[in-house]
Amino acid sequence: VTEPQPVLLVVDDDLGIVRLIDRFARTLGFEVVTAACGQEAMAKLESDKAAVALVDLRMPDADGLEVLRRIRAADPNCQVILMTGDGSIDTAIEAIKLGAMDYLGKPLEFERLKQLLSGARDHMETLASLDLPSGNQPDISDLPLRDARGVHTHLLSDVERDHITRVLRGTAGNKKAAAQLLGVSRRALYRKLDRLGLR
Amino acid sequence: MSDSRVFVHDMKNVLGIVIGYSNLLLDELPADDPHRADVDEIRKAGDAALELVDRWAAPVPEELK
Repeated sequence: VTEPQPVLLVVDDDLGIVRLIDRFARTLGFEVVTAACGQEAMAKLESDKAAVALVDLRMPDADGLEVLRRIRAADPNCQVILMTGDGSIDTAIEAIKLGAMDYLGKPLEFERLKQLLSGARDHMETLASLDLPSGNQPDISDLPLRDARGVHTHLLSDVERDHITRVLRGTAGNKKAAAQLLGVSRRALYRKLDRLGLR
Repeated sequence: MSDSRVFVHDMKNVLGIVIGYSNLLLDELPADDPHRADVDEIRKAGDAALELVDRWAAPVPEELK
């Protein structure tokens, strides 16, 4: 008997990106299901039991954060990764607070995505090997990836650091321009750089 | 969202596809495949275009205005 493949739900209205992720995730052993909008995503989640959902922050019918919130409420075992081409630090932090596994920039960082998907797959396999009676599966968010409130506390600063580093690279190190893109004052950006050890 | 931000967003998505498929091919092609160098050129051009878009999109600092 072959093991059923974990399902990755990709929610993005850009067909080109969806096809690329489909091609990539299949090489990692995922079955890929796609949805072009928030509403379709919820329907697919119900019919396909996704282990992981990769959600674009910007979609025609819904905000990705809202889709994240709805997926987490409907199926806490489904890990959600958000992706976006831009976005403020606040959005990145909000995503993690709402229970997202991580927040990826666009163009997609495939190495990072590979790590996340492999991690999620290993996690599913560990759960399956515990051989718990169905209906008695532990909520993945109870496992030590998160603290008691379901927040990846160790990741919050990582998310911030990655995000700021990415934006600074885009502005060729210009901090004033970076602060503008990040939606914070220049002074606040300097404080964050100090705190994250980036100065 | 302003027209220029929509343009940047869409342009990054398109370039992401060019770079993404190049990376997939480079991962999968055997080390001695004669096409590797060509695919690598496509990826490098994609990376360079992405950098241009980022530079174009960055706000112009006051001191340079």
